[in-house]
Amino acid sequence: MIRTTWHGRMEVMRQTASSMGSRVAELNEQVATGKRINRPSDDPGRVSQLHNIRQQLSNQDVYQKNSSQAEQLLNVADTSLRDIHATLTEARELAVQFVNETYNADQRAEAANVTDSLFGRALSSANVRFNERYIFAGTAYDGAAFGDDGTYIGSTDHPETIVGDGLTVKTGFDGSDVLTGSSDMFVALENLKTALNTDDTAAIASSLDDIDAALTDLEKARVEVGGEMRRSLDASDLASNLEVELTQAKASIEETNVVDAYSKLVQLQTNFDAAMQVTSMQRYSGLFTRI
Amino acid sequence: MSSINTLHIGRTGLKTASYGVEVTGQNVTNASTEGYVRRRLVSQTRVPHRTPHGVYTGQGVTVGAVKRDIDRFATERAFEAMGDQSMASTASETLNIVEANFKEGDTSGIADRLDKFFDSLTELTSEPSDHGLRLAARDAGQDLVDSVNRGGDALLQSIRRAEDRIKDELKGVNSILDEIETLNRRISDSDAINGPADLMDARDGLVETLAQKIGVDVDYKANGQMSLFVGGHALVQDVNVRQLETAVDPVTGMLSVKVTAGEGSIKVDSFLSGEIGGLVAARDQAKSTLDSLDEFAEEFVDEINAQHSSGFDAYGSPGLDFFTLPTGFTNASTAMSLDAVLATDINMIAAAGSPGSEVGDGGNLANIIDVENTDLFKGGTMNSREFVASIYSDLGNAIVGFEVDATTHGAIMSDLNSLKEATSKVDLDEEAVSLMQYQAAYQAAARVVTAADDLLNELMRTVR
Repeated sequence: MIRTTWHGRMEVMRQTASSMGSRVAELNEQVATGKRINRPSDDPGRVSQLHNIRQQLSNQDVYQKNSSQAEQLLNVADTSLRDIHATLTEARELAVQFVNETYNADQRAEAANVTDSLFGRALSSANVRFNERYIFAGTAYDGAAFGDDGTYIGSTDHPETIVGDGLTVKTGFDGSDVLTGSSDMFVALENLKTALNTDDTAAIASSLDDIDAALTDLEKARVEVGGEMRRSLDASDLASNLEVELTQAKASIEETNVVDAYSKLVQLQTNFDAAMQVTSMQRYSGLFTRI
Repeated sequence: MSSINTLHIGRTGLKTASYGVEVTGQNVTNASTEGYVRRRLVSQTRVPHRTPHGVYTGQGVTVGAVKRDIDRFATERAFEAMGDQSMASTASETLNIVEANFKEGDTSGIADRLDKFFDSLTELTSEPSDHGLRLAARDAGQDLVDSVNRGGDALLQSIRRAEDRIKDELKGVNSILDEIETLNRRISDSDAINGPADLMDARDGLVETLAQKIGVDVDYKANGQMSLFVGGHALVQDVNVRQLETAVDPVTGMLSVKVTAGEGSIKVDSFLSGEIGGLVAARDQAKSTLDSLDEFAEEFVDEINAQHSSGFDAYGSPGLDFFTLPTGFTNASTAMSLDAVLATDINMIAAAGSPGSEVGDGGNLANIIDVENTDLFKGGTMNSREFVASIYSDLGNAIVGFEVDATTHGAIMSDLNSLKEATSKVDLDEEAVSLMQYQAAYQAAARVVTAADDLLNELMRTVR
């Protein structure tokens, strides 16, 4: 049997109190911060995973910002294309009306004035801006996309915004491609105006074909903008969903179960108090006090 | 047998019992003295006297020795465990301070700043010419630089502090070695019955301090001498002592600990435990972390600059460097800075992919952002973010390793101390019994003296 001494017993008590004190401090920190991992040494095996989640979370925040801005810009682009479409449709109706032989030259000249105003409306819509950006000027969006005569003066490159991992959306368009690509709407409107002014019904009929072609191009452009908008919305949804998932994953790794930690803390504090009481009861009461 | 002899026997009994009370008193009063080893009186029969008639008569009792109750094996092992525990706890405590620079979720930490840097560039893709977003990208670059610089500086300081402490602690260690040598000499020269016991207590106290400082292998000799070794190299052998010294390694520039050996010295860093061994281990871990951070800074700067310079700035000119590393730098992490020109002119951010200086051209940003996910480290298996995370987790793993060691060796040390103290600690109940025993022995011896005195008185009266 190992010989035990009073001092030996006291040393055991001291060590027990010290180790319990450390554990109480650790749990106190967990309850106070609500986090199980406050430093790499708290769980080094999970640190890489935690960092990966934090990086992804941080990315989702930017992706949502970027896609939100892209959505707004694409909405404006879509509205603008709708306006241009409406303008061209009006021009087409004019052409259909005045190609008819029943109208005289004066009436067609008057219609030419209306066409001129439609040209202005289309030009204004094609030079639409979002946050000072000319949407259809490509990457040179600090200047107008089209000149007063409808000539394209923007860039043939388009800007792209990153909205997800390896995912970009167009946040600007090359106007010479989407608005005046295969059929130039401004040329079509100009031709209609000239035909009306010159009272040339054959030319009016010919410009009708040009307007139809421009309308077809516009529809394609709207499909393209709509596609970009859908990609942007999808990216935004994905980022938003990922943010929720990643936040949960991060919490499950990083955050402490406060109820559990608190229960352990209370239990440990009770044990600690009991150990202290036992220690105080170990006051020397040996043979010397009896002789 | 004569009454005179009986008187003499009674006197030896009184003397021995009195000595027993003295030893017990010494034990009782030193019951709480740190390092005190309980003494035990070993009494023995005095050599009997042969009378001319060939009869052997007893000569009473004498004090044979005052023994120190010590378990040599447990004591030697406890000293070794003490060194291991002290090493692990010093290393983990020192690295906890280093770890403060790598706190989890800290918004000023390298990991967070790295995320913010790439986020700012991603946001810039939405408006490459935007003044505010360009400012944000530049500031995020500067924040990353500050964070890496701070981490590198903190690691360098930790290394220096650890080495300064090693130098300071070694002065104390050498002075302890000298004291042990002196005590060994005095123990060797001592002929007192209980003198060496006090000297041995003092020597064990010094060895304990030494074990906590450098960790030593202790070898007790039967003649009371003691030898101390570090990694098989003798520091103290009987009355010979060898000092420890520090030297800077010309290749690594790191401080190393050596033991003097004749004209030269032998490197013993890897054999040290105790506080100094812990400081060496913490220093080495901090150096390893610093090397990784330097590797990150150098590789990251090179790659970002390579991508940045393949683009074009807002003036349509080819991009310059985004970050700078001065020529002949020692530590990339502390030397890294934001390019001086870019720091003052945000138009120098080479966001564009072509030289047309069109405001919406952010074609090069995607290339720079791709660096985040390019496997540049650990032989092309880790990207920058993963590598930074590995720096955090490597440090965390090292600390946990030392904490586990400290707990394990602490438990071993505690067991060995219990074993050691089971033999050597004073138990007051036992001493109370001894006291009663010696008191009774004293009273009995006194009765013998009284009886002999009565006999002598009776004899004198008869003679008269």
